[in-house]
Amino acid sequence: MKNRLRELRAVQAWSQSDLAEKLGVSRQTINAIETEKYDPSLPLAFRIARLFKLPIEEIFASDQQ
Amino acid sequence: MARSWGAGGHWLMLVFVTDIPGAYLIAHHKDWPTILPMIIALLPLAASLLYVRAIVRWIRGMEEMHRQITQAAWGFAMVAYLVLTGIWSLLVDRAGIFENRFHLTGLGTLERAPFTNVTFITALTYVLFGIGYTHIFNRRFK
Repeated sequence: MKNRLRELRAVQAWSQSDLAEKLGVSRQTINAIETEKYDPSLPLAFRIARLFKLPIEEIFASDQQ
Repeated sequence: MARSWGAGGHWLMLVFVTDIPGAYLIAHHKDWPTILPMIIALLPLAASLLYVRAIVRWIRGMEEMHRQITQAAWGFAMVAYLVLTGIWSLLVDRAGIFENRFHLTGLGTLERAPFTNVTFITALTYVLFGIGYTHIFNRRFK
């Protein structure tokens, strides 16, 4: 699954650790999501969307899209 | 792996300090009333169950990616343990290999069947978990 997490994080000037703390996950999880090695759970995807005040589909897109 | 030690390490330690010394005590005190060897024999098993409970609680409290890796690593450890048990059983019981080759503890049946020894089972599963965790984390997520 593709995502814009790195880009959105850069806009806010947050480090991976900052974002991890805000979302209540580890820095490795943020890194794994950004490098598309790990797909977040639906609750985490919702938390990310809420944090950036965007709909989920503007952050995450399937590989086929 | 170090964190998993923090989660239930004291129970694991209890397994180690009660299992083989307990077997030694039972083997050398045949005159004890039945209840005492029963308690001594079951103590390591009870400690290992408490260790499993501590590990389950630790996994439940994890954030999602590490929970997924940890569950996969425990799955790997369980399967690998069963495979090793199967190999050992076939080699010793069916093929007769290794019989009378191990004389490490002087405890007879413990030597012939290390997979019935709680210390060995717990330590082996723990090591297999560590190998699985490191491998899965490095391969999939690093």
